[in-house]
Amino acid sequence: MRVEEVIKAIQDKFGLEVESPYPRRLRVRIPAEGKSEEERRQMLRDLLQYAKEIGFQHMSFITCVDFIKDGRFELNYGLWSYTIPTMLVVKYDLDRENPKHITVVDIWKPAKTWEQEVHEMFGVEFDGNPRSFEPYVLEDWDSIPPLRKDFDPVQYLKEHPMQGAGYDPLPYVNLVEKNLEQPTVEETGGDEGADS
Amino acid sequence: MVEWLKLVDKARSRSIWMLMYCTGCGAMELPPAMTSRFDMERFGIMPMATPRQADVILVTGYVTKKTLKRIIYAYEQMPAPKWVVSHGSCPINGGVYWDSHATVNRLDLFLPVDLYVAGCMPRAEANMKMFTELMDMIAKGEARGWEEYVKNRDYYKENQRKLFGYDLVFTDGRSAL
Repeated sequence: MRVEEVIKAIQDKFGLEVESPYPRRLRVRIPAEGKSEEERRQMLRDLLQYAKEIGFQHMSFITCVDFIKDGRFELNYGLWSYTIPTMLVVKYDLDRENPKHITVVDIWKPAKTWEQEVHEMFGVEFDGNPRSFEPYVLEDWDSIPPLRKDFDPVQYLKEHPMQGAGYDPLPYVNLVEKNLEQPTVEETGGDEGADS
Repeated sequence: MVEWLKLVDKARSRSIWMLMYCTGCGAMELPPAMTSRFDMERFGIMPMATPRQADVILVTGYVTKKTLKRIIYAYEQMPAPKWVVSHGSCPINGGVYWDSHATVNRLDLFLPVDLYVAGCMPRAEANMKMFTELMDMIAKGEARGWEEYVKNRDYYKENQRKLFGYDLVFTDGRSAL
């Protein structure tokens, strides 16, 4: 199967827009509007199953991005094909306040580990994957998931002084805040928070 | 008797076996020190796979909370005399990872460090200087960190308990050390 045929097949079967930002990369977003949660989950599972059938052999990753201003998590399912050869990324938006989702382990076995990692780093619950609730790399973790944008590492180190000892973070925090001022809307032309 | 111990120290300084347990990125600078250009084996320094046969443990980079547990286990399995070398800026004060949720900023609160090598990361020349310096210290009997660890056991154990939230215990139920 060629890349053009993959794009056309997904558009015909699911009615989804497939964009190809640069060679060997395809991106599909499951639309957030106009559908119930159940329908969107079913569409994601159908799409991942269909991609497996048309020649994507390898699930490379499941990652999560925290868009805290929009109040959503974006899950990225990366599928690689050795024959086409192309990476297909399926994007799925989750509610940030109540991040509950379903597992895709029965379709893609590597998802067992990826979902475990996303659960530990972002707190997304994958219903149906019992291993996702086990700790992945962190031991004895006692705070909110560390890769969420509202996790404050400096505050965490203040609460764990043995771990943060040896560095008085305050002058450096001031320095960092001074250097990292948010650009104004005039400077960016209103493009901030552009989609990845 | 004193002369005899001096001879033993001299002999120890010429046969340092280092534990092949490397954390972080500083381990990348050890292969140049091992291979033909710098050739650390001419000093009798040799990598060793097990802690029970090793003399020196190199902490080559950032120390995460999870790794520190393994480092302490490995260190306590090593037979005395034993030495700890802190390699790079991360074990000194956290380095570029000073505000990470995972790393521990200061190593010397939890283990007695004999020698520091600064740099991010130290080049192979700095490594060779570190090895010769360590040999000198051992030959003169100055590197006594392992004695400090026994003398100040309460201090180190208290710090480890505060960090991890519990006592480190070996899997067979023995208390560490």
